[in-house]
Amino acid sequence: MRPALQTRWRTGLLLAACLAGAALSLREAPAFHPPQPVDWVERYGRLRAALPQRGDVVYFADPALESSDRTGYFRAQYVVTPTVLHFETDPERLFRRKHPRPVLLDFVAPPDRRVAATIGRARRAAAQRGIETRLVKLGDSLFLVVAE
Amino acid sequence: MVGGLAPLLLVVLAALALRRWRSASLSGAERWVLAPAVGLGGSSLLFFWWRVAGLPPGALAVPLLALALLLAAASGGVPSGRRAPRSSRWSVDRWALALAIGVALVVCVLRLLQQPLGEYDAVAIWNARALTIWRAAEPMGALFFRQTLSQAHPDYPLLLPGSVAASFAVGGGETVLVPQVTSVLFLFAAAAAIWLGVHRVAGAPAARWAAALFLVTPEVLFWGPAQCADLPLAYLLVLTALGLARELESDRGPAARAALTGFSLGLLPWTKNEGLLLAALLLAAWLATGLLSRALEPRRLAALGAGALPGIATLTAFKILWSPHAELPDFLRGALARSLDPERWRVVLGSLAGELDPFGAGDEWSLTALALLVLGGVGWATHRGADPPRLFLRLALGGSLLLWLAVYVGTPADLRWHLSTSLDRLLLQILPLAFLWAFSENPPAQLSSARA
Repeated sequence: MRPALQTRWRTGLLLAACLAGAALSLREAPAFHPPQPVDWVERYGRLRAALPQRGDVVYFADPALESSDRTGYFRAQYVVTPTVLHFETDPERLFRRKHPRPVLLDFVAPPDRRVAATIGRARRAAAQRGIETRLVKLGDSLFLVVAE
Repeated sequence: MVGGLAPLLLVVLAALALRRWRSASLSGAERWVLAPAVGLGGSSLLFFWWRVAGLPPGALAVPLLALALLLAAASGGVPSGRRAPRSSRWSVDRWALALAIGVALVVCVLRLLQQPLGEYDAVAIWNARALTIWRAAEPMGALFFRQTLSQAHPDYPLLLPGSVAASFAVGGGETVLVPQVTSVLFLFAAAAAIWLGVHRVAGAPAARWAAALFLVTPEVLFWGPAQCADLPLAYLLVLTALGLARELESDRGPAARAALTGFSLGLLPWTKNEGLLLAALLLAAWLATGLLSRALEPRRLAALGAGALPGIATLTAFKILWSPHAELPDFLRGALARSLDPERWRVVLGSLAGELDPFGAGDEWSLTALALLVLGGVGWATHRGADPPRLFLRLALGGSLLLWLAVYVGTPADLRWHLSTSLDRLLLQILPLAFLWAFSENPPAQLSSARA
């Protein structure tokens, strides 16, 4: 192959790849997609003040809402850090420790019958161990149960 | 707002400090390409040890800035290197690079406006860790001990969180701008490192094409502003590969260069756990090539080791003292049986082909992977001979691809889930290496700088 031709096909290939990449990148740019709300920062931010500023808290989210990738847990952990959140999925196990830690129940208000039943199970489990709990509503979307 | 520019300040101060380091005789471009590793990587190491000593995070600003200013103003004198004559003509490759930089900036700004806190992993891991080590009042040891109870991958190393936290200290407090600026800096640092490496092996026009193509690749622009550690790792990988390739040349410069290469090598495992595998692989490929070509010198090996020491020592302290869980024993359990399963190989190779197929569902690579494959493949086929640096790049890229295949075939996790959640990022980490390889297979005369 002649040198000039060798140069041209390579340049042509790179030019085509650059133009295709630029077009695709711009097409995929967020300007063409709906913005993603970050209202969860505010939601968990209200919670931060209510939690101990250091130490550990057990986090229990509505199993119907918390996806397998634990989005709620990680978002809550991001906001309340350096308080450490322990992920728990079983309401019966929330208060099994000898020295129980504060428990955060992350549910959307108002609770439907299923959510109310879950909260009830957790509170009964606490009561059986002599642990007092209180239900706190933060804003219109969050309940917090604290075991002291 | 001004505090958000702290990462940029750290990079500029590092570039100035490198300018005064005469014994390394670095060119201007080399200093700027190295500056993010020294400024951001170095500050993450300092932050870690500062906090291990139990000192308050905010107080790091004074010694960090004092050290940087001292180094920048040290009486080493400025090297009087000659500038290469610059052409004022605007060739196609210059236009392509200008367009690519513009597209990259626009997409980064739009993406940061849409996701100011970064991608899922940035929220779950990287930025959360930065906030943790910045906010916690207790000493680092106690803090890490408690973190072992968290689900947020407490064993992940701290280059990115540490540099973000150090920038918080320099900038005077927490702001979402710091991880955003850090993320974009690493994106452009990776492009600049590709430019520098390709410039050396294939000339200026090829370097501009390479940087342009990297910057417009959709996958790169997705992860560039994502505030995760994959692009910092890609940057450090290509920086280390560049330094190691240079060590195989006859004109390898003073030993201080080997120490700088060692420094970036040591930062690889401090960035992500995969970095340990990649560092070991680069080192093995380099040692093999060096032994074959008899290019290894004990003095330079010692300099390389000394340069790697800060990163390796910090990682070792972190892993031995606080990292609660090593994934390697889990991985090795039953790995042989899994890797002998042909069905797993079929799934992994099929996923790889599907991921890179520009005409399939995975269009996030656009034509980039195909172009690199054609460019490198044809170059290799037409110029079969290989000098040591080129041989090293072939070994490093081939080895890292094989390594990733082995990781997936042997993974104890659900294979399809593992592939779908990480294959693109693992390929992104070695993408700059593919650029170096593909362009190094094409001599300078074969890429046009024809006038537009």
